[in-house]
Amino acid sequence: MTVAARLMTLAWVRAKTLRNSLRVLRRQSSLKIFVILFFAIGLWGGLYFIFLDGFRFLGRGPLEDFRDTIVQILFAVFFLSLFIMLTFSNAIIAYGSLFRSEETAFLFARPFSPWQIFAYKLSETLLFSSWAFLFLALPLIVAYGVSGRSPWYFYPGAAAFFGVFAVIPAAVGGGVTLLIARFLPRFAAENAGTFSGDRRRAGGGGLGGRVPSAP
Amino acid sequence: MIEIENITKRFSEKIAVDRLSLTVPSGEFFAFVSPNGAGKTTTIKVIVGLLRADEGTVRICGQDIQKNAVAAKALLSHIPDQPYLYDKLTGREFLEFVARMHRIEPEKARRKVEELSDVLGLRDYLDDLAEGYSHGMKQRVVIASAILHEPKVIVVDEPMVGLDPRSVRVVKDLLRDLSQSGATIFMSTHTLNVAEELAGRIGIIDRGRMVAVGTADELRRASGGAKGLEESFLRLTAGEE
Repeated sequence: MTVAARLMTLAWVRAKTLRNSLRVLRRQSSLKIFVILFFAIGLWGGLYFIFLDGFRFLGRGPLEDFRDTIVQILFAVFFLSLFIMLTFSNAIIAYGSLFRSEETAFLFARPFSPWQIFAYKLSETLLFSSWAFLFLALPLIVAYGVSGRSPWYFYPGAAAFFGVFAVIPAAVGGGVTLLIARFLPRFAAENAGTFSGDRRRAGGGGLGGRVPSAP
Repeated sequence: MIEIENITKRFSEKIAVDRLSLTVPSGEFFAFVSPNGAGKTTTIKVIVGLLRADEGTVRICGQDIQKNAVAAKALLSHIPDQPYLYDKLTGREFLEFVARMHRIEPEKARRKVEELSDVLGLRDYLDDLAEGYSHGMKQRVVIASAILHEPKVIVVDEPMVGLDPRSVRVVKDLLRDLSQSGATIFMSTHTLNVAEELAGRIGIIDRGRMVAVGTADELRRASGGAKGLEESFLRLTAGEE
């Protein structure tokens, strides 16, 4: 079985669980769903109009000449802050996903290589940690595009940028988690050594063993 | 066939498994019993590749579980004592997932799932999400998933825990049939009468070492003429519990 086929199998199970979760959600109280959507859209819309007003303010009066410079600095600070937060968020989620998850142990007893399981878990971490980033960053970038009367292709281009941007802190966070497991194996507990390449902890081979909670 | 050669596993200063060697040939039903904390679960985790031994090797039908992990794991099935299912998958979807990972043809997989549903009594709840299953229901689905791809080696850790008497009977018959059809069964259990009833040979591990291996009669003789397996076990592991 090819690596792609195995990863597709793992993606298939994730798609099924997502679909079933949505079905369960649909069966829940309509009021609950309405309240969640109302506040989510309200927050998104509120952020959008605040950002839009902010960009329009920068585009008129005495600040007009400095608009581009200010926006550049604002974006740099905004994305740097998000990058740091996302790195921490990814590291924490990756830790739980790689070293505390029953699913990881289940998959390790099945015919998947450690790297396939790691790739699958990293993509899961990326999705879990990045949805909030997209939720916060989209109103900002849409407001920027609208205020500057950007052409249509600005929006798909920005979306692609976000996709690529989110991968970097996910990879850094995943790397930080592996380093913690490698050098502080007691902290990482359950599956430490399995992914981290700690030969002593995994018992000799790094990517291939699992350390149980008790002998 | 399972070939265990001189495996040792340490956790810091504690030796969980100490130079354990054992060969379980194809078609044998082997039971593994021990006092609590004697290294049974660690041994099973080494056999199925969840742990790497500090020393020694484990081969599944000739495939080294660490060097050729994917090939070896394709030949074996592990039924843990705590069954794991995806809460948001139905039993049927979980079995389909297992069939996909073992590349079983969809039509063959469907037939096999139907067959196992009848044997293990899964039909009533197979299309419900696993989050609503009891321990016994989960265990039965996990057992079905473990034999779906017709593995050559089945490693079972306490398979009867949480099962009702009828299910225990069904699982015992199923494991016995699999063994008779050529699969190697390696079963860990605390229930000595289950070990005696099903297994051709029984291994007793104590403080990480294999203290006795043989048929129930051989173990009785080795323990100085004990009356039953329970007494043999207590004599051979005297001082531990």
